[in-house]
Amino acid sequence: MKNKSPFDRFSEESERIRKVPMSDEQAKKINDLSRELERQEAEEDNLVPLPKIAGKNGVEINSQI
Amino acid sequence: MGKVIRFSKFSNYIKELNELGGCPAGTILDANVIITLSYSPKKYHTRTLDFLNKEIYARDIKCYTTVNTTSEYLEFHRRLLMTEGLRDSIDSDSKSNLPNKKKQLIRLQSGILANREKNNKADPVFFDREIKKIREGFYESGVVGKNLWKELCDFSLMKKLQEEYENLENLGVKYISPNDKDQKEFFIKEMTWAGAVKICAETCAGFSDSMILNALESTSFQFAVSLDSDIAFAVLSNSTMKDVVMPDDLIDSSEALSALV
Repeated sequence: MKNKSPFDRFSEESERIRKVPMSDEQAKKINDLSRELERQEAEEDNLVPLPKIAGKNGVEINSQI
Repeated sequence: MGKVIRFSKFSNYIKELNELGGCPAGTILDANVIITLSYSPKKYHTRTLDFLNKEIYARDIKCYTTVNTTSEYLEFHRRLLMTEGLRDSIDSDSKSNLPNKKKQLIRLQSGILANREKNNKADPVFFDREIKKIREGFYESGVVGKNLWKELCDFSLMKKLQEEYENLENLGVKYISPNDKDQKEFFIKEMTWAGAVKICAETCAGFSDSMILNALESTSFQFAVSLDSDIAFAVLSNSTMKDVVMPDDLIDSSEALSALV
């Protein structure tokens, strides 16, 4: 079998590094944060603006809770 | 005037150099050579690997780079690894399940990239501005979005980029330096920034190319290896330049260059 040169080993090692898949632990962290973000965004989407209220001197106060 | 040498003509070229006074002890590899070696889908990967094995390594010609190479290499792999990590995260088989809005954000940029791959035969690698757009979309979601982005970086980059750096170190291609006592014998004149500026100003070569050509001028090395036609034009346009070696089909892909070589 042909001896591998440093260039061959370099090329193969780079390929190996790229192909390392996501671990279960990494996936769990990403999925936990994703669920948290989805909850947060769902809450924000559900905020209903209050009706506009006339303030002092007729200036509108447009507020949200 | 320097010469542009095809890979296929390198054996004859070295034979001529030997007849004139000996095979050069070393050469300078352009950063794009190192990057291409590390990434098999790159055009010229196989022929560059074969060339280095058969013509450079087999002749025991030592390889060097300029100081820019490590940062150019890591910058390419930063974008490559992040692109692959982000694209993996929206794949239907992915273990991760990002929020739909974030998936859409990545899909949008991934679609732009897919068009570029198809129409321009571009590398499947996001531009920096595309990664920034995606990152901005995560940061817009506040602390949780920021933390999620950090986890994606952790998966895509944290260990892998460090390993890429170690891989480059293990390759043992050092940057050319007059301060390295093992390299002193190669220097025939002082290597200065002013020298690189002069080369750049004379030919409007990119500055990384100018640094390679300046390093050649400062050492006894006769040629550099590159995958960039710009450096070939710079070599051909200046009477004091040394030579550059590159793949045949890279030369043939440019009418202007192939007419001059």
